[in-house]
Amino acid sequence: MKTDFDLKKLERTAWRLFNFKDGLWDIILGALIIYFGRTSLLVEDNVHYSYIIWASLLVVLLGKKFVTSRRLGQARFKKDRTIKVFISFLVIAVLIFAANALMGQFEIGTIVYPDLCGPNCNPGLPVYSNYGIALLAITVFVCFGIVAFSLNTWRLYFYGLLCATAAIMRVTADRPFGNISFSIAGFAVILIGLVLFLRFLKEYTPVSTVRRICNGDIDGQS
Amino acid sequence: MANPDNSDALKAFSDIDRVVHEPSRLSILAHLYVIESADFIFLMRQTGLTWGNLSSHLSKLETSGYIEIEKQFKGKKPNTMLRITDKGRGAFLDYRQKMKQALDQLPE
Repeated sequence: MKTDFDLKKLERTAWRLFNFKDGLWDIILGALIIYFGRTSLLVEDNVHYSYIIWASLLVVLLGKKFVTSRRLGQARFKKDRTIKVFISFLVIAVLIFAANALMGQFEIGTIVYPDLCGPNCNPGLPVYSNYGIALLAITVFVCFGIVAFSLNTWRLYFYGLLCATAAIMRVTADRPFGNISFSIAGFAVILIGLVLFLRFLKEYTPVSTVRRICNGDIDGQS
Repeated sequence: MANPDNSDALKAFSDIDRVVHEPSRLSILAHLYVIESADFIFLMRQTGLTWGNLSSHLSKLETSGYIEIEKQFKGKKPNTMLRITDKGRGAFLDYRQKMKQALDQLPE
């Protein structure tokens, strides 16, 4: 009988199940990626894209309250896990700031990455050197990687790869593909989230149904 | 003639806490050990036990003083949160240590 089971692994598994099994956070992450891609590099005002964020947030909050908690229940994790989550959100904020800085949106971009711009740099729409493109992609991937490591969610590494590729496409590819690269990445993430959500609904029946099966009120096979 | 090493190991097994030793209860305590608290549904999903089975084991653990059951209302809906007590925490750690020692003492 195994007695020396890994308690840390048990906690990590419980954490992942509770937060990420339903795929809802993937949906809002995908929306964020789309918003980030559409608003950070275009000149015109894209405030209407923020509706994507609000809509996704509503879907996630309602989904968590009315779907996930009824199937998975409630749990409170220990303080050190909460601290890790806080650090992860801090890293996400740094990610957004760093990526924007890299893309010349903030003045710090020209200080931290002075060689980013190639010889034909247009202040309105930066053109990157190969070194700059590689640095941008690596920064995006590393930031996603940090979040993936701290939240113990491996598919975030894949999302990091998607976003790094989208970042490269954005600065190297011609219109319209370059403009919509982040949108493609974002929609891919949303699609993964939806698939996970549907799988979650199939795998976890509502508890009221489970109780009725246990009581013999209904056939568990149907 | 009994091997003294074997009898020591077997004696160690007889000292373990039978309340904790039951696999379902061990799973329940392990899950409650690593988190702050959880409700019935979460524990049911994590342990894979049926509703009735889980209820029965939780009653046993509560009677032994290893868990506490906090009943509250969220709006009009009852919500039961479960938490391991300090006594339960100690019993779980003690069980792990004793089992490890007992298994280590067993000859090859």
